[in-house]
Amino acid sequence: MSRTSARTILLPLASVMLVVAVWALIIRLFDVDPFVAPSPGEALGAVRADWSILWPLALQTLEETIYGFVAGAVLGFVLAVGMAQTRIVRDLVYPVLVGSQAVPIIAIAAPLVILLGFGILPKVVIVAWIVFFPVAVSVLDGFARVDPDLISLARAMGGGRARTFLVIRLPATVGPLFSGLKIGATYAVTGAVIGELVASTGSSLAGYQRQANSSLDTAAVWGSTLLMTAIGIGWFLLVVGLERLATPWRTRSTRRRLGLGASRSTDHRPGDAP
Amino acid sequence: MAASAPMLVVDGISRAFDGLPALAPTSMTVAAGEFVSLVGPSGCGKSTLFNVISGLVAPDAGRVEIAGRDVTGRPGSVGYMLQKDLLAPWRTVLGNIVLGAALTRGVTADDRAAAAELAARHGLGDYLDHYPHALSGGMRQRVALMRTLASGRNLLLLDEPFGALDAQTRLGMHTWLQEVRAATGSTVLFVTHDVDEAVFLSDRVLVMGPRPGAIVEELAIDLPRPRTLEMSTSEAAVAAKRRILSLLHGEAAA
Repeated sequence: MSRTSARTILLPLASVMLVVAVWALIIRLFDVDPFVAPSPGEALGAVRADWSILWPLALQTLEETIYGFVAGAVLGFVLAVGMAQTRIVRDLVYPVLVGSQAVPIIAIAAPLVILLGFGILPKVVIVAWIVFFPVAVSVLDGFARVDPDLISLARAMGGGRARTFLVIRLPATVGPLFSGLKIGATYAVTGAVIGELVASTGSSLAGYQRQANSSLDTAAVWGSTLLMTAIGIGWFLLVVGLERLATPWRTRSTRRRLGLGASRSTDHRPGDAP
Repeated sequence: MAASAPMLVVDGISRAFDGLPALAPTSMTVAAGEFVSLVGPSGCGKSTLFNVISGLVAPDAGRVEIAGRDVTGRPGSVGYMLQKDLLAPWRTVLGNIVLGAALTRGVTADDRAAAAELAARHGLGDYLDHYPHALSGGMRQRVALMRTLASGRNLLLLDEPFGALDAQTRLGMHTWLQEVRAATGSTVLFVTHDVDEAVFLSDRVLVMGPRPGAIVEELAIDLPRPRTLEMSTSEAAVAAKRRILSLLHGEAAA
């Protein structure tokens, strides 16, 4: 295994194991009653025992997360593009943007459920509500950070407004877009679970957890929390993977080429001598 | 050179910003295939002059003609390069070289082939697939010049293109630029603070006065081409440098 893959895979794995070990140690050291807090093994055992119930619920949470995330990302990106075009749009939209995030998301969940029913829609809206903000702010920032000299260069080369936007300004936002998406990814599952807590009658991860809570099945409460966390981490990792594919210039020194043996990345830094 | 038709005619252009004159009425002519440098103190209006010639800034008065066409205030007729390489980090070396085509009409396979050939001929052939961040400062400026050449304009405006490079790299770039120009026959208008650089590269050096700036003297550099490093210490070169320095800094430096 190369140094890089050891760093990107083994180290995060080690840190997760460390957290689990500390958790286990605390439970054992203070002799905590399993009804108060379970050990990692008991929590995972609860997940395994109820797996046939839990995995469809997890899929459902994942589905809400995906739809909401995509909707929020598209909305955030489109808003940022619109705001970057004209000052009027930006000055009009920005206060609404900030205001939307000042609304406590838990408080808005109940009105949304009344408005949109008990189906998937209110959850998707809540997730999108959370995700669009960091995306819009990051992409807008990306537009603002394009070097004005680069825009002048494009003009001097005869580039019109539309082509300059497509060739220079838009690609410059890809990196910032993923910064926003990564922030959104970690919060997206939280949004889905809030939606489930408020809207669901029982058949959801949050509903399962609430039931486990009321029947003092602490291991299942913790177990379902672990499952939600796993969905969040998985989603984040997926976004990171997409980022690596979409922004090869950040991690590679050469373009990825299709074909045999051509995908190697050179560490060689060419000198200045002709 | 003097016999060929002028590539660039600047006729009495002036420009003020917020009522403050940035450029006094300035006129100059650059023949096709000629290499002309502009030197002058900071804030003498060189950048304004460049921006007017490139069409980015409209002059208050006067006109700019390139290859016989009036292009006053209309961008898109010159190749343009700054001290900053301004390479797009998400584009490879090849992708950056064809930027002009991408910005005007879309990149074709022919554009790519021509760019690859151009780059290969001037020592960048091994780096076509590299991203800019993987290149040194000198290599990045070479790519930037290739981008300027590939835009297909015959007049190149180079605004202190080597200003950010170390002295050693800069010397290598001078020789390289000379070779590139011998191969392409481009006309170059070059802005620099470096008197050695101006004398080594140019057919003519135009010296600008202090703000608001106008051309105070024109010096022909009578050195044969291709030029070598030894020539920069020849009598003619040293005399030209002394004259330019005395114009820039007054009698104290003469």
